[in-house]
Amino acid sequence: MNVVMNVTTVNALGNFAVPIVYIASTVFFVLGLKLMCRVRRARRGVTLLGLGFVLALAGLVLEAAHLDPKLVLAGVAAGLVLGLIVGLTGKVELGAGFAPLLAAAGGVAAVLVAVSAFLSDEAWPLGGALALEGGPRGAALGLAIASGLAALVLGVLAAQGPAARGSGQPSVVALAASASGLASAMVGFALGNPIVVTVGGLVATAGWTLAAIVASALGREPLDVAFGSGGKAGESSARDEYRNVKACGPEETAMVLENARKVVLVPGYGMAVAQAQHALAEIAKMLSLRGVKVVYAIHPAAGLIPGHMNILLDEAKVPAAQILEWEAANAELADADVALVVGANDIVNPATLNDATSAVFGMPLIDVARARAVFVIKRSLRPGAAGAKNALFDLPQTNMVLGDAKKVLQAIGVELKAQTPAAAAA
Amino acid sequence: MDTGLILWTVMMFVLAAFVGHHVIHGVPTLLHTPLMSATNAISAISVVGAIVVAGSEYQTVRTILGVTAVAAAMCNVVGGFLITERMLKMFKGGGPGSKGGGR
Repeated sequence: MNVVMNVTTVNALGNFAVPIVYIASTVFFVLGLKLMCRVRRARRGVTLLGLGFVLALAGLVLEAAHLDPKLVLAGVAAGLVLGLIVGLTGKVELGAGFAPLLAAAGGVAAVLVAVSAFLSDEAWPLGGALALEGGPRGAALGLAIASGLAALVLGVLAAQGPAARGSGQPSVVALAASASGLASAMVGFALGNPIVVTVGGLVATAGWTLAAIVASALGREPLDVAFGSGGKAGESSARDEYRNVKACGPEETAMVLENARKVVLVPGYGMAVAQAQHALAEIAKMLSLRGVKVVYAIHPAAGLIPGHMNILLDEAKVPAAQILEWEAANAELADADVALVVGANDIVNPATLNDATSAVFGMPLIDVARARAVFVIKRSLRPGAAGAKNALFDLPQTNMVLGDAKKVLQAIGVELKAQTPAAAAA
Repeated sequence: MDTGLILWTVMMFVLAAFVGHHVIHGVPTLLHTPLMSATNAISAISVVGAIVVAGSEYQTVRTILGVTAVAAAMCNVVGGFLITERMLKMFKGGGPGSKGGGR
């Protein structure tokens, strides 16, 4: 307390500057997170979060001018270079991203600071009246080390565990961020730094809440996504041969499509790779003109990252009313005449429901087998990202249309136009 | 150590935790991954503590731990923000083929 009073008398401005900078930083962090929940504001949200971070560091510089800058700058420079390399070259997509490893690094950092604080009982240079001492300090540091290690484990799990292959990955990384935030907050308690306590607490629950939201979109609990079942036997079953595959061409597909009353389109990763959304939308339009009811079924994990299909379909000007989430789509499939799967595999694999040994077991399923006929446009019979065999391809009602999604869809479009002069004129 | 002041800090933590829970609300599927990435980036706020440990004149072991922690946390922050930004750019560009895309 003496230290604080001395500072007050010596430099009132300096005494107020640090709290004000920290308060502004907290406001930016909260607003940034809020904006990041809205599609149109998300980028501004990132900017605010970045400003919050810069302000937190600025506050520290004001508060701790006595620190030896050489080693600090060396550490900052090393982190900056590593962060730039990972941030600019790392893959953004689901399943291979560097985000989980970054989360693990954050956990490690919290553990190292806590261990370092454990090594000595010296008075903390900054904290003064705010820093914990004795038993409470030990407890906070212990909790910091435990949750930092939890963040490390979750980060590694998200990078390499069963969740890494599925749509649960964002949930596990959010959990890791939550643990890392808690660890930071505990470090903040032990060291007496208010901004670390506040932002740590904020992230601890924000991460947990996000993990729960992502997991519930998949019909699961966050901890179950992180540690629960996932493909143990997936690779062995992938080697199984297909016995009953029927292939057919665009012509036959077009004929069945134009005679249907209801068609469900199921786009996947392959459609994104082939950039086939315009060709697909074109077909949907021609079918609609003929009076066929057309809907798109969007799986939460379709594409590179969740929401990818919505962006592509929006780009192809597909009416939002035709786009259904997986559960609504399954209801439509019950009386659909045709399900047309475009470059998707794991998301239409019935093993998610009935094969506990499969890598995809427990994932949401777009149950195309409910439709009377299924057409699957795919480049080959190779397994998808999860490495699992797909029993759908062996079903009697399934027809494989092998080839590049865009070329096949364009060929189907040509057939539809040729066979339906009325629609072509319209 | 002043117990009264410390209790204020604990209260800040509790309130921040409630704000963190309530501010994440109505997140569209599209933003799950970018928000995950941003949360991940700011979870490394412990970099502030790490800088203090690295810059104080402690014995060698603690300084090494501190500098390593600064590097690890800074990497998490910078990498996390850049990846988040690239994800959001990808949405704007509309697909993996565009120049902002991640492939």
